[in-house]
Amino acid sequence: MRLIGLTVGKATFKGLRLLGRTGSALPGRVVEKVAPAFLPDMLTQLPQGVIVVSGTNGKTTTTKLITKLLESQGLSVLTNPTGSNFVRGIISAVVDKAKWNGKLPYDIAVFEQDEAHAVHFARVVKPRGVLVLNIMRDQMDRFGEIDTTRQLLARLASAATEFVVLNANDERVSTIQPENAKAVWFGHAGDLQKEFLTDDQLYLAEDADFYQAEKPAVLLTGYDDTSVSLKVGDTPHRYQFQLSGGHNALNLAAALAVVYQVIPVTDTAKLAQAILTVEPAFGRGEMITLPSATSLTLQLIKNPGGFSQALRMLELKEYATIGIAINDDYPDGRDVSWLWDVDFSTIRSKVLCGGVRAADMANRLKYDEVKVAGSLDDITNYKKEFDALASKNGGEAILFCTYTAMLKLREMYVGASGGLDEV
Amino acid sequence: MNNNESRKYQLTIVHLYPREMNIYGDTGNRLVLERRAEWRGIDIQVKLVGVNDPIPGETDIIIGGGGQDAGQGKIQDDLQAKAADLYKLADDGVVMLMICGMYQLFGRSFTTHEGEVIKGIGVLPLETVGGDKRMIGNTTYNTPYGELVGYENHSGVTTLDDPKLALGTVTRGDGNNGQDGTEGCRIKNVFGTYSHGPVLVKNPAFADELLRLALIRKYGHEVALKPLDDTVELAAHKAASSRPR
Repeated sequence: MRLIGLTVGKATFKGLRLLGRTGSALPGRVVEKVAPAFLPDMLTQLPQGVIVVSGTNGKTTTTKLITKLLESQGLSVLTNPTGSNFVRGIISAVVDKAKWNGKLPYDIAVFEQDEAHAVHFARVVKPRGVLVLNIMRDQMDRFGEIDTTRQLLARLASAATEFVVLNANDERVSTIQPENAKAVWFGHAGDLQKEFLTDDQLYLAEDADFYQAEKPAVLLTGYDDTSVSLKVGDTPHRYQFQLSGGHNALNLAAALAVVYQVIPVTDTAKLAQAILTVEPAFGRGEMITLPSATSLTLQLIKNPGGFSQALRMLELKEYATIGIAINDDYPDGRDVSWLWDVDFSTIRSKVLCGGVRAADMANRLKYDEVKVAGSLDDITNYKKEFDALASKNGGEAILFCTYTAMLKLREMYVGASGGLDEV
Repeated sequence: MNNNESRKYQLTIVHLYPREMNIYGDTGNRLVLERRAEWRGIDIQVKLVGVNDPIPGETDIIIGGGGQDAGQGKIQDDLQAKAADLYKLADDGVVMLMICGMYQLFGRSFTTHEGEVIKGIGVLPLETVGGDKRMIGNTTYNTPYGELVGYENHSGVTTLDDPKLALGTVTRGDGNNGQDGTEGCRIKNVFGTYSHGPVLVKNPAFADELLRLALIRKYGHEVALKPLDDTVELAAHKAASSRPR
């Protein structure tokens, strides 16, 4: 079964390359059909098993963090390309990386999966460990209700064979009870509560109490723009860390909680080095240098929780130029109502709005009494205007953008790149 | 009218169940009413009314949003307990704007797909039955306050006792039921609609109509609302109505 699937998959890859196509999910789709047991069969070879990362926000970045941290301890890690959540995308990755003799030369796999795909994946492959980051409302025109999301993630947790790492401060997550694995928590200290609101707190912050289910194995105690302070057990650690924002500091706590479950960390210097050098994932706080030598941060935004969290980056660092680009294609969510669930009133400088729904964004800012520098729905013109403004203002620039706006802007800035999501 | 004259006006907005019924940015309707009043020097007081909280005696506008199933489950009994008060306030001309889930519960009943009957409070003469089809997408409809744009997302099929009581006539989308071309409902100053968006943000004339009706009811005479520059709102309106369903 293993070799049939592999041969068919690799042949499909080869055929596609002859046609000049890469990065397709087609090999995965073909293999899924001809050899349904291919994936579990291949992945059981991995001595350290499979880790699945899920939750609403932070999957891509946290998957990358776990990968880099495990690599720092000498493990070779198989992971799925950025944001490619489909099972067949994972099959494609396995086919691509496997040797012709059926060997998968890795110690461990770390896959990000959104809630719907994660359940499908877990039916086929029993993960050794599962990480559930948070449950926020996403685009409900695609994923349904938040309580349905929780049920899906609870099913994923119950498929884990050894451990499940849960967010101690998000009640929807912390109360998940794995059936066959032990639960471990990550979280943040009480005095950081205002910076990490759960979905319920986001909608009625005034009576938000600090919530912590269990004592976290890894506790985030503080962060600034260049470092993160954590407690692992009762031992305090401080790491230099480049990823901006509290959300990434908390993602690091989650990643460390997973790493400590997977292996005993023996080389703490290399761990610290990996934390220092890890770079932002594709479009997730990614830094780009503009021709004017201004540095631009490209920040994907997908939902009210993620956008609210990302806006806190403005408190950590001064950005001379701020842009928000909103598209409403299917991967962005057709309904832009969610922008009204984000509080923009903390923005103190002018914002340049772009994307197909630039006018909606400008209107949203008007009602939070934030000044708008302009509003351009054509993304090419928008980029020109943004660059001119960034060049004029000097300093650092930041662009918050929805998914398809991010892809287009990123392509214009750095050229097309592999690892595109299959949304 | 100068600013000093208008400053004496004050309105109290009651937001019903903000914790439970708040999907798709519906809370934005509150912000729009607040700002559009404040920009004209009208004082606004906002009261958040949740489960077990009484509705304040002084109430000029009541708004309610859409919710998830869990949220609707949490408020049903409490809404029945408030039904008599709400009925009385509606009768008294208090302005109400109910969206999606709250719109359905302001009708007489909601019969789920599984046949369970959830009692509404019957302020609006309509009934809703859970359907097979998700009615989802950008929508436009004509009303006495101009063309409104919104984003609908429901499977409930709502039928008005009398189609003439509709808030508007659908020009794009499904509206109340995907059949008779009606969208929303209005009785006295009670408005219900399936439109998220939120509905007031890109339909400034409709937002102003709610403020106007509330001021007339409270002060017994027409209060001229200073015109605002709605260029941005109307650009957003245009963008929404030009997008694919």
